[in-house]
Amino acid sequence: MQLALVGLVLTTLFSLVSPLWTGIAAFGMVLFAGHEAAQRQERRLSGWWSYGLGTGCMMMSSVLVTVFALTTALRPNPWYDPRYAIPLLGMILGNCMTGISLGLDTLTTSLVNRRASVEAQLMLGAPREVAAAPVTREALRSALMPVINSMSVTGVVSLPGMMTGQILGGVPPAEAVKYQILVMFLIAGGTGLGAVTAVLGGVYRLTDGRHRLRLDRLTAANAI
Amino acid sequence: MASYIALNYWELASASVFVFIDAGLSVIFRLNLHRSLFVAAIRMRCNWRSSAWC
Repeated sequence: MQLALVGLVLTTLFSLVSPLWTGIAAFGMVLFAGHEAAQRQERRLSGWWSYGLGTGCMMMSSVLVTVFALTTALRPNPWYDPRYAIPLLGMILGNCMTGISLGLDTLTTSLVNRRASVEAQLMLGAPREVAAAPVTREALRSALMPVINSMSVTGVVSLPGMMTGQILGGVPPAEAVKYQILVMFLIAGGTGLGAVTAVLGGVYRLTDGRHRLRLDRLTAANAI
Repeated sequence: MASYIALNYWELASASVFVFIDAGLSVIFRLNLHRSLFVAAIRMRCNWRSSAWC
């Protein structure tokens, strides 16, 4: 049912080739991904930060990387052609969502677990960036690890769906491989940029200008 | 027959700038992931080249 509806929407979108409708579809995808990322957090930031931080970082990184790919590598005419823009954004956004979600979840969990250590450093006069550095590092590592793992095994262990689909659709395998490499690089870039901005934003929110740890800005939520 | 935009190696090289950005972030934040990242990117490229499909 869901896929049949998507098929109908994409058919209409591809026939319109309108920047407005392509933008609206992209915006809808980002909002939904942001909602899903926020739902996966064991401990959420309070208020709009819970939804806004992940969604904002996801939008910034995935749109930046997609527009870069459309204007420099793929160069369809027009550059916002939804036949290229929407699937590319979807692939980047899906991986970006996983990275940001893992990064923020690790950040909040580690800050709660290492509260004493972080607060001890803050009391000794360390600025918040320094006190939270080990936690930031751990969060960023867990955000980037899935992308590096999937890059390492692509072609040997796994044959990505996009490439298989292209081959089944009649594209020569050598060309499908080039597309897959391009997409993997874009995913790595989008996830890296998104995770760094989201984790740094999370650190900024969970500390304050007087270099105090503000775990009261977290609300507990059930993990799914 | 499928219609598609053929990619050349310069266009792939332009996208690899993101791997360098990630490596730079890894160095700045001392994540120790830059080496793994470069190895993974090169391995991915070599895996495909050595694949029977290519």
